[in-house]
Amino acid sequence: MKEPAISIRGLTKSYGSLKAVDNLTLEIKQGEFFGFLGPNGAGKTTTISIITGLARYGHGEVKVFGKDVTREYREARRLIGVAPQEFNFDLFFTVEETLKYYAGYFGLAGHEARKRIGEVLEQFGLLGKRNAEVRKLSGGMKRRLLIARALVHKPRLLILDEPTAGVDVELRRELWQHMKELNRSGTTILLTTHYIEEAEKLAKRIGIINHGKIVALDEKSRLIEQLHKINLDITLAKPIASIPPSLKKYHVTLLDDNRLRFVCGEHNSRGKILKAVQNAGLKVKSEEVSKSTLEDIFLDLTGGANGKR
Amino acid sequence: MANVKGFWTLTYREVTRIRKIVHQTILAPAISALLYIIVFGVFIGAQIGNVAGVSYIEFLVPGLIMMTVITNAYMQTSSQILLSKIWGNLQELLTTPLSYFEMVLALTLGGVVRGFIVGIVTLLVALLFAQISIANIFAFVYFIFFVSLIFSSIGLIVGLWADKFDHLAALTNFFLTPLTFLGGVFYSIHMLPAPLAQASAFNPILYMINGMRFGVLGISDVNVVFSAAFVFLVAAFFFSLNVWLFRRGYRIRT
Ligand SMILES: Nc1ncnc2c1ncn2[C@@H]1O[C@H](COP(=O)(O)OP(=O)(O)OP(=O)(O)O)[C@@H](O)[C@H]1O
Ligand SMILES: [Mg+2]
Repeated sequence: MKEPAISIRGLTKSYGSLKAVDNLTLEIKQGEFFGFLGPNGAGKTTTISIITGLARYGHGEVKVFGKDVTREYREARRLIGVAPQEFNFDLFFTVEETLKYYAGYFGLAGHEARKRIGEVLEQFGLLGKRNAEVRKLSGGMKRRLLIARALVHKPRLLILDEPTAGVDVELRRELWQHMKELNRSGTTILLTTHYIEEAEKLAKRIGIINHGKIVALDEKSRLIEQLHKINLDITLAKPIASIPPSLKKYHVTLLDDNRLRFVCGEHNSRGKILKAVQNAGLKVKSEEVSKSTLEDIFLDLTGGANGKR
Repeated sequence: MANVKGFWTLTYREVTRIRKIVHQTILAPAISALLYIIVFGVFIGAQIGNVAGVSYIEFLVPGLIMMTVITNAYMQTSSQILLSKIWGNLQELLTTPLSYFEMVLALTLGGVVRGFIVGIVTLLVALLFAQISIANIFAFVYFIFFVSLIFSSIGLIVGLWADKFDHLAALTNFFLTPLTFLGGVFYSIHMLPAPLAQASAFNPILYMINGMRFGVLGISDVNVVFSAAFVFLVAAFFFSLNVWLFRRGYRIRT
């Protein structure tokens, strides 16, 4: 039985009275491509900071390839490459120096280091900027450097916290390609993103976090299957204030004051739902059938805009 | 298992920084040494005559060396840590497989190297005006090493604690400068009235300056063995405190 790449058990982290991570348990297997989703302030970055040793935590156990991130911090950190959400460079070093020092901390030096640095510079289109000071790079280039730095020591676990925020279309495509290749060659990847399309395209398994708790965790295909249930949107002739009690047993949400969304399933056929609506004394103006996407599920689980803190 | 390459990389990085700011590390201490030596050593010293059996200018030089070493070792680490807290690259360091001991050692060694550079620059400037031969090279090296280790350790702690550069200057203005001035840079404590001389014995910097004076001139107001043991213990204390703070993640980890 191979050790999981990441194993988090009962993790709780508070900032004052706010529980940024709330009794979170999560296991990511070796070689997995895991998409970590959730609205702003859900606790993604906090979880990542704990894995990478940047944040303390109150309760719980966090291991990377079986190494405890607190007790065996050096062994754990050796295996991780992280591209944080916020830039954390020394702005006066050049691109090459940044990579050279970072490689050095991981014990990579001399010819071996130079070769590896050349590779990542090339991969991320930074060859032309190798002698430029970091502070003189554009935002997207800094993002490239952040990821190049995370990869310079060939980590077994790559953690990317919103790597495609603020990058152009071309780089996004390139990054996707890199991530896929890396994962194919055995690197475990933990990716957070707000582009659901990105998670849909790349991740094999997806976890959704909200208010510090995991609210959904499944294979992407199954999650989407679940999400790809058919929605029946019914527009009513007259607005209503709330969902009538007789309809509560259905999976139904009030979209606007005159639109109801039902999730159709085995036991809730379209006909049955329409009948129930009429029995509730509501007049149907029009109806529409739509397939849900990961985004719908996401919004559903996290309460949409209202779920934000 | 120690991460030797990683440790040297970080040490090298810190030393490289010194090279990048040559005007601060060499020119500034050279100019201030020049001013002190001309004004106090040459002009005023001519009126004073011998102190503790040596000319005033000679008497002054070890104290100046120590004063520069203290300020520069402190500035090196405190400003560096504060800056990397502001930029976030202290966090970069925390994601690497360096032990906290290795991190603290490499960062403080940056201050030690800077201490040696400015100490030697000050000595070289002094040689233009006075004939000085190092009386005890071992003591000279020993005291520069441990004193700069003490103040680069203190610099690290203050840098971790501080939120802005004003905080760093506060320690210099309220502690380092007064204690250094009262620590016998410009006078021998035997020249003070007895109560003040006794009070001076509680000034830790007195032992550092006199240790350096022993190294350069072979004379000291206080027992040199005591001074040597004292700086060793103080350095060990502040250094260990730093390792502990790093492990705790004081002001580093959220
Ligand atoms: N250093 C801190 N001090 C106090 N509260 C914090 C700190 N860092 C994060 N928080 C709080 O913890 C919660 C979780 O934040 P976190 O950064 O983990 O969210 P996130 O899921 O990464 O969000 P985003 O998508 O916006 O990056 C938020 O409510 C945030 O305000
Ligand atoms: Mg975040």
